[in-house]
Amino acid sequence: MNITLLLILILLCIVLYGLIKSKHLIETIVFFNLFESVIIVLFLKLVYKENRIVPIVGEISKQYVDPIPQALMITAIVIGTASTALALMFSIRLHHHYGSLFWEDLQKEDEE
Amino acid sequence: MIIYGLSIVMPILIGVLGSFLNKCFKKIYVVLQFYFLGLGVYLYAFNINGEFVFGHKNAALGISLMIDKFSSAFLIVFSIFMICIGLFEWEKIMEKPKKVFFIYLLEGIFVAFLWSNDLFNIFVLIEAITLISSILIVIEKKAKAMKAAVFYLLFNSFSIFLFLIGIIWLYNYTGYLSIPLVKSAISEMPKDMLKPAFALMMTSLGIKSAVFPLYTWLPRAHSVARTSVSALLSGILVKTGLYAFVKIYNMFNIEESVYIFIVIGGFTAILGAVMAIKEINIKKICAFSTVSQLGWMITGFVLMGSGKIGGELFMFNHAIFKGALFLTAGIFVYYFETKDIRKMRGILKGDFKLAIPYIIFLFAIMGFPILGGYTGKALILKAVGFNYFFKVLFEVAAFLTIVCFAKLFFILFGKKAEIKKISKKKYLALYIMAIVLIVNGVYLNGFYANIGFIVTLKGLLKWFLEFAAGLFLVKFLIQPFEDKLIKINYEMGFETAMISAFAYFTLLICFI
Repeated sequence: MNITLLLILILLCIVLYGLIKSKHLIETIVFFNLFESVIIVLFLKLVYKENRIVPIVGEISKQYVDPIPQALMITAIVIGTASTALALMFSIRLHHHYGSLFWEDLQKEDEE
Repeated sequence: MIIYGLSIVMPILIGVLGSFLNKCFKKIYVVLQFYFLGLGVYLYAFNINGEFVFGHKNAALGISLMIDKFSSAFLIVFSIFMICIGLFEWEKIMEKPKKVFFIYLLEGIFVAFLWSNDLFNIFVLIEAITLISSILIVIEKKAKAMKAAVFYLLFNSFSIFLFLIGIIWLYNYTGYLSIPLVKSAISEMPKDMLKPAFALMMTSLGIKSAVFPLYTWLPRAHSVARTSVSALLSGILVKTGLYAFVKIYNMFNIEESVYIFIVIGGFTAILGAVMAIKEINIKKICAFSTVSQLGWMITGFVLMGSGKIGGELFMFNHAIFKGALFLTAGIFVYYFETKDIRKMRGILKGDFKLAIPYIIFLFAIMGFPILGGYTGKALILKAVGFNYFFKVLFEVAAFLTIVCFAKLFFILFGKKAEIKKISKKKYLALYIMAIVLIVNGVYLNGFYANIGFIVTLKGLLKWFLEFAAGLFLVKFLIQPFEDKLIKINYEMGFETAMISAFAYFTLLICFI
């Protein structure tokens, strides 16, 4: 098996473990962002092919790389950034109100 | 064809320009909804369906939109729903262009989502809908809503990245993203190769459509948001996951998975109703019952034939009556200044105008023949009839739904409630929804399902017996023990929710 792919899968497992086990909201957000990055690296690894040139029309005889994955992954990065930013904004407001961002503090029922 | 592109871009443009159109802003909103209603009716009545490709002649390279009967009918329901929400919020949110901006944005994205025929577009649009819904949840900037919103956002964004892994898997093997092309490419591939992608995508959409045991974000978010936002979330937005579920499920077409989804749907239906029976917070009752009904819909969709039509019908009618129930619940909370149903009594004497649509909504959700909810439920029950165990499961779920809404039936009685003044537009919105439910139940449901009018004397009799038993149960078995019941608390934390997502994934991998 390919060594890079193996490393990426190990990283994926670590990130998933972190997502489950994180006790703090900011930790969860960081792991969430890492999770998104790992997926992007995984996709780029899977579609990578050796000895290809950039997809700009020029010499027709040579082989081009597939341009779609790059476009997709740029969109995915933008989406991940937007979700992370929104989650961080919420956490700022929550910290102002509750004074703590630990999940166990956040999950207490507050009085109506 | 350009009209479809414009329909997607127009709401977003109006939303952006909204701040400059102060005076005629509300009128534009109504005009836009009527435009969508007209478009939906046109597409449905003239039976327009097919694939429309933008940007390139080749479907593999352009952006393709798929229009069919299902999406046109959903567009009609959506526009009626948005008219009612607009009327309900006429004096509050509709006055503020900055807040309505998100609703316009949501509209454009939602219409694009209904028509999108491309895996990656579905991924982007679902995530956009998630982001906007989490902003809508905190539209009043309450801290409690923010807690629910951050949970909602993180859990749903996590789920949608699982969907992305599924897309990567499929793209790696087929080289396509357009759903029809992927479908034809994977039909010849061995099933074992598709299993991980199928399980990943189904787990992701299972989280989005809140099936058991992944429902935990739904009751939190839906019970703390502003009334109209809860209605929007429970009526329309929760169906985005389900709508994508239908598309992806049909794309894979793995027949072995039917049974596991019926079992999951059945348990969701029963557990959602049981948890709704336990609650005393009126918005939580509505939210948990949404979970229960989503179980019905999923079961309908995985069964072919009458089950699928039943699922579609139930989805449309559920959008109307659940949205309406949330709106009515909001009015009750305003009247009594509490969410506790034990302190709400006497609506029939206090506000008769409100009581009539309220009774219609309750009867519709309980599956009273003639009203909207019945046909869908009857078709799903007929479709699961091939197996005795499933039939019993769903009959029990139907009965539990009746019990949990019989609880809300008691709000009508008691000594006269002191009511406050509310605007006539709110009544108008509720009456529109009630009329839609009656028209649907009497005529349109049978028309959509090609079966005509299917109410039988036996069905009516059975419903009344179940209703009487439900009232009896609530009065003598549930109401005396409510104080003990509310102490049972089993809300999952983020950690448990994530673990249950992995458990669900493992379950799917093992059993398909």
